[in-house]
Amino acid sequence: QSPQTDPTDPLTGPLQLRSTPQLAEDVPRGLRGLLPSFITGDKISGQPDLGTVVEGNAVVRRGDTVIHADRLEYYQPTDTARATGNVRVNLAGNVYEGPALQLKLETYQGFFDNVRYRFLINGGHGEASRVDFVDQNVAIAHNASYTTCRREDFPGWTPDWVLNAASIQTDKEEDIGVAKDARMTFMGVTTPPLPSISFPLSGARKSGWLPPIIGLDNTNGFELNMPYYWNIAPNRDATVTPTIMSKRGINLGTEFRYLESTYSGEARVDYMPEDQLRNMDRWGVWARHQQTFDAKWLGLDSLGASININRVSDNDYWSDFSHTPSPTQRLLSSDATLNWARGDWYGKVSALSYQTLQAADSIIVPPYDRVPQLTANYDKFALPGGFDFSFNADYTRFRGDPALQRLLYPGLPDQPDGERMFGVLSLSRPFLTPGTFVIPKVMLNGTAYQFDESYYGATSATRVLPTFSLDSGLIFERDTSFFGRRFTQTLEPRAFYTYTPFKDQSNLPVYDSAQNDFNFATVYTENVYSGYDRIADNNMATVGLTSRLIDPDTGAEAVRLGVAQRIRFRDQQVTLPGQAPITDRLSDILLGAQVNWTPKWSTDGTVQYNPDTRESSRTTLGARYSPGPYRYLSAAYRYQQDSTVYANDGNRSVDVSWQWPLNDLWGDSGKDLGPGRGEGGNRWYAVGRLNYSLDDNKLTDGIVGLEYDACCWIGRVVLERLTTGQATANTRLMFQLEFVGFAAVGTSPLRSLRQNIRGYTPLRQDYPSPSRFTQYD
Amino acid sequence: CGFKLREAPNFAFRTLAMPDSSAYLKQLKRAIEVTGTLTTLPMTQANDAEAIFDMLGESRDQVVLSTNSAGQVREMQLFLKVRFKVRTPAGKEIIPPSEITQFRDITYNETAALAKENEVALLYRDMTTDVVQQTVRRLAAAKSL
Repeated sequence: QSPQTDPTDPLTGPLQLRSTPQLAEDVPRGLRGLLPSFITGDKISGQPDLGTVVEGNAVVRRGDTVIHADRLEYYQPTDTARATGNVRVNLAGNVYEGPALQLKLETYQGFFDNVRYRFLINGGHGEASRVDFVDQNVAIAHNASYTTCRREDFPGWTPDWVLNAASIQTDKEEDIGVAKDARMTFMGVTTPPLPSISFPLSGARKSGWLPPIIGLDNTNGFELNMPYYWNIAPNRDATVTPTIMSKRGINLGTEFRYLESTYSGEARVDYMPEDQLRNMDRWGVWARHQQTFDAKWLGLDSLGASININRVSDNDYWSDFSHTPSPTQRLLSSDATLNWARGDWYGKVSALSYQTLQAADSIIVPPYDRVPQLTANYDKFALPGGFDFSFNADYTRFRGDPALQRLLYPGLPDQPDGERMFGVLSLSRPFLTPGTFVIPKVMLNGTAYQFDESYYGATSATRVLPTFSLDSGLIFERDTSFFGRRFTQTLEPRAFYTYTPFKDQSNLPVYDSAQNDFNFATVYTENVYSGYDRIADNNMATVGLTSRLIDPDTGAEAVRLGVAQRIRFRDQQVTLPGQAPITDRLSDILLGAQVNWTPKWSTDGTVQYNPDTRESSRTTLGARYSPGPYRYLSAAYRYQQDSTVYANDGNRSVDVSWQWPLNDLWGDSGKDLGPGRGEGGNRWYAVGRLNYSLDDNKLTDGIVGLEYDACCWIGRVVLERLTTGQATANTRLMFQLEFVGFAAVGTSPLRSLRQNIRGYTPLRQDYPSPSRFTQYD
Repeated sequence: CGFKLREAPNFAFRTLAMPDSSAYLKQLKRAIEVTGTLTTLPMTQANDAEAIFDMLGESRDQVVLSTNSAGQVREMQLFLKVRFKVRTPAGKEIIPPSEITQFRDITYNETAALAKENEVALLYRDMTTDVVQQTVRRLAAAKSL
């Protein structure tokens, strides 16, 4: 018989830990005076309510304050403690040691002579001739030194870096230290005196200088980058980065981020007056803003706006200033959008325009601007009878650059700007069970164009086309095991059929259409073109098979293998300008595999194989290995044929990136100090990314670096090479020295490392401050 | 060879309160209802449900994979990351904060930026479908309340 247990009975119920206000991290201000004082020692004498003298191993303890001393006098009317001989004070985890102290226990006012101190939050320590305690949070150390280098236990130890100052004022509440008349010494080299310098006392985001970067660059010359991080408020910050380039001038970068309940955004503005490289002012603006409005008074469920601006001063900006925030460095989009939703309706009003940065040896035909675009969509699922219905409408006015468009379609008439309106009605009836799906669907697409000028002898055009499709699939499962692991294995055959009649569309312009990539998502769609200018005539099917291995305990996918092919029952006549009709009955074969055997390992590959030429028209192979923080390896090979014989959009490249502690090579695997705090001192890390174009036989993007973590400082050397044209490249060598616990922790100072290496973990990041109870005595 | 049609999974709970404010959540709701063994409730009835699905975040990310020597982007990778957890109304965690990530490669061509915008949307829909299926399996793998 099992014993009766009553969870509320302290004797038989399970033991439960409960929180107590006595263990709060901060003692509330008003409560401090009410807390009892505990006094112990070898010999205690005194008068009640007046004074107490403790001799030998004296200890006074009140709240988060403890004083140890050989002799201690406590005078109650003024709440003053006077301690002498081997005094050690623990103020909420910050420890001070010295020969003599006077302190008011409630207000924390007092002073301490010849002190050695150590702060809880960042392990910073130092010595001072005298410390004045102003209140619970503020203390001023005179003739003080400060370092975060850990004290080693041997004679003649000196810290790698130390700050010596006439005074250092520390404010615990603001988490900030201010040193006056300070000199910094690093490895025996001392700076000239600095009138005032502030530094953060914790690992949290604080205003201050970020570690400067010194660079040598073939275009910029000698370069000095001094970012300042300004933590304006918990929801607002700014980084100001002046960069001096010896061959060019001064570039001022500013970055501002904000987050409010109804809006958020960020803006980066770079400005370089009179750049000597091009003899002109240079600037770039990259801004994002999102906002939600109260939509009730308009009768809407939601109304939101977003604005994105990416704009630079000139065509050469992308090659003269590396690592701008736009992912497509030569195509910068700006748009403003208003999104609305009401019940089953939603839509947007937006305007989009592009800035294309041209280079003489590689002209980019710019995409069309959409000024404006209006959309309205209606989705209604699970109608009576099990039907899904949707309606999509779009009105867009397209504005292009006919002179450059001509380059794309030589020999064809110039495409005029124009307006396009379309509506798509679709009705489907999904039949779904856990193991099967059958989804028949009919669509009707109506499109109307209005051209600004005559195109193929007409100023307008219309097109109405119906489409039918049938998507179906089965999901089989079985329990199995591979290499000693249990799995649920699936087998998922899928068949997709689609039919659209032919309508000649060769006299319609191409504003927003292109052929989709051939992949596992696009093969199961009704139209091989994205956008709405071409609706392919189809009578074809796609058949495919996918098999997965799923971990039954977590539902995670360990392996996925897939194969798919299209079967065309009729030639496809509708093409993009200049393209020949597609007459193959069988498409390329698509093969895909993804293996995530453990969370550390993942590999994936897709091959698009052309059975006629027995060649691959597209191949990607990739592998990643990430066994823990600061350890990441990835390699990929990518190949893509030119889409047509004239197009230059193919690519063949190899990409590798890594971050790895070199000390692992000689068996020194470091200590896990927790997130954002590195792996301990005296460790080397290799980081880098190489993107090599096999077509151009060029390193298009390369960055290799070494990081040295000495615990209280980090050194970095980074070599970067960016190709900016067929025969030009920027090469830059950068150095950075980061004094840990002295420079602010803000946005990543070495932007390129994070931007380039996806798995890169910075050696230091924000981390929560340790509890005062870790220094309890 | 041992394969049989997938059957409705056995969930450790019969009712699940969940929001439906995004395409992912709408699809997830539908995929759960198809099983027939688990009923979804709106978040307003969270206290009546045996389990509550908390959406912790959905993020999309786009990385350039390769550029040519003229600085033109030729390939990108799209990421979809969904984070969620499942708990009882009393606050006990049934599924700890979990993350499901999908990625897709897409070729890129500046001239076709508008067309690529549509194709990116298609790939995100495809990834959402995959994430939904994995979420249902993750929910079914939770064995006890």
